[in-house]
Amino acid sequence: MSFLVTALLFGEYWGGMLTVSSTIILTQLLLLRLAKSARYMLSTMRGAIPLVALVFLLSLLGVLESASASGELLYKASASSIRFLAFLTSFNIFFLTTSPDEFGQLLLKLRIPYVYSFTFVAAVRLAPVIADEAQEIIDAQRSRGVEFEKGNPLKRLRALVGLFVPLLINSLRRAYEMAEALEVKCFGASERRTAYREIRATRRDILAAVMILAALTLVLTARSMKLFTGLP
Amino acid sequence: MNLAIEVSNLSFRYAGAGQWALKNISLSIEEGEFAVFTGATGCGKSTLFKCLIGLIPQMYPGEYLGRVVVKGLDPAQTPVSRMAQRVGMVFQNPDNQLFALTVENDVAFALENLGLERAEIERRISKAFRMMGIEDLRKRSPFELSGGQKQRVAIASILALEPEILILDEPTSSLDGATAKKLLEELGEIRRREDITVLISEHRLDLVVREATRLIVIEGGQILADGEPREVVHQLLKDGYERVEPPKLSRLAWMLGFRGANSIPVTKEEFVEKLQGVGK
Repeated sequence: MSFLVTALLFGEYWGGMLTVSSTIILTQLLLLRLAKSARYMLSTMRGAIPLVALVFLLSLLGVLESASASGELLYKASASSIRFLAFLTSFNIFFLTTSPDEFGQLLLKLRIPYVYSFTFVAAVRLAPVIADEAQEIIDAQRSRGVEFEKGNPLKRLRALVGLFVPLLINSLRRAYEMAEALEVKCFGASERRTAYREIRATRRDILAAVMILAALTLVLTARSMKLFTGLP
Repeated sequence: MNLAIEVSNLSFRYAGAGQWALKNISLSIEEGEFAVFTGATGCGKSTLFKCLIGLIPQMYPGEYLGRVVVKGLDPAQTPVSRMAQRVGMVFQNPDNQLFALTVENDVAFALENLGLERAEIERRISKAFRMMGIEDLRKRSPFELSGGQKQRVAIASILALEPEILILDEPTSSLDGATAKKLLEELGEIRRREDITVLISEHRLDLVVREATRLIVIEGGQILADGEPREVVHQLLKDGYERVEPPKLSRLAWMLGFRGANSIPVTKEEFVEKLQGVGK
């Protein structure tokens, strides 16, 4: 989370963006290497490569007018993409290491109403169900001769309508069925909801929280002192 | 015997719909019954079940006439969460009923919502796991379970509420015949052991007729036949009713000429006994 906040904080001005974002990614890779999970993590990131390329292209177009030199232009586009990559890796590590159930409980402990933390858990719970459903629709459309990967971009986009419309309709129906199931499972019946498996902060959690807070303080200080000005 | 459910002249029309989904239904169900509701898709079984727990008219707007009393409560006026503590309802698709990321947390979900203490939750979920025979799935994720296992978890999560009435809306529709038969037999066993009333909608009468104490056929939102299973199966065969498939062996017995109202076989054992009786 602190990586994420750091990446966010250094988004307002260009100075230091590349340094900070690259440092975040390298630190994460180092930590992952120590946890012997670097390869797995990188494999889960493969799908994000086109997105990063898209951000690079869009940034290039976006800063075209304001940038004075081609070096600066390239710097800004690279900095945006690396920053985006830092976001992705941060989110990825967060979701791969944190159980949504436990995160939901944490939100509850922070006195955030259960309906919000439940929404988060339900969204995570439903992601694979909707993915399966999307695959079923793709298979059904393919069996009817729809080609999702052929033709020009416009044709491909039109083919996707055949996926998204049924998916949306099914999701709405599913939402209604889930609402019924929630009703019969007494959702919101008691103001004092209890937890069967309660999470408790251990000494290690507190130590980690202190370290993260310290790191964030350092980052905030660096930012307020404008230590990173100028490029890169 | 006390009445568990009493429905008097119930009619319901969904908002915006031209036709009535339920038309003047009157029905009494005694405590401890295993009532099987059958009928073509869209005949009104699910609508009737939703009326019994109060989802209709509380969640679905529409025209609601008549009166329903379930365990002394009026579902139209009682919050669903209060009804649900006495009437458990399991839906067709288990994927839409499992919310937590472990089976254990899912079975505990409704109890947490009620604000029960941890010890009580533990007692109830352990019992529900035992009842459905899924102790080994406790720590698993619902994502990785088979359709039959998911449906068992969905039933366990409702049984944990310790309902007096259990309503199951086509719980076996996505299960293969053998898995569905086993599940239905276990539900029959749970009914006998826990003394709860079970209402279930099922198309495959072959699988459920053994457990049923009552068979109700619905067509076009009305009750077409209602009675002891053998009696109703006989009536279906006599009338040549084709929208519900009677047990195959009952049909075969009918074709072979065993057409007595009180003696038409509905189970395999009865059929064999009938055939053996011919030779004697």
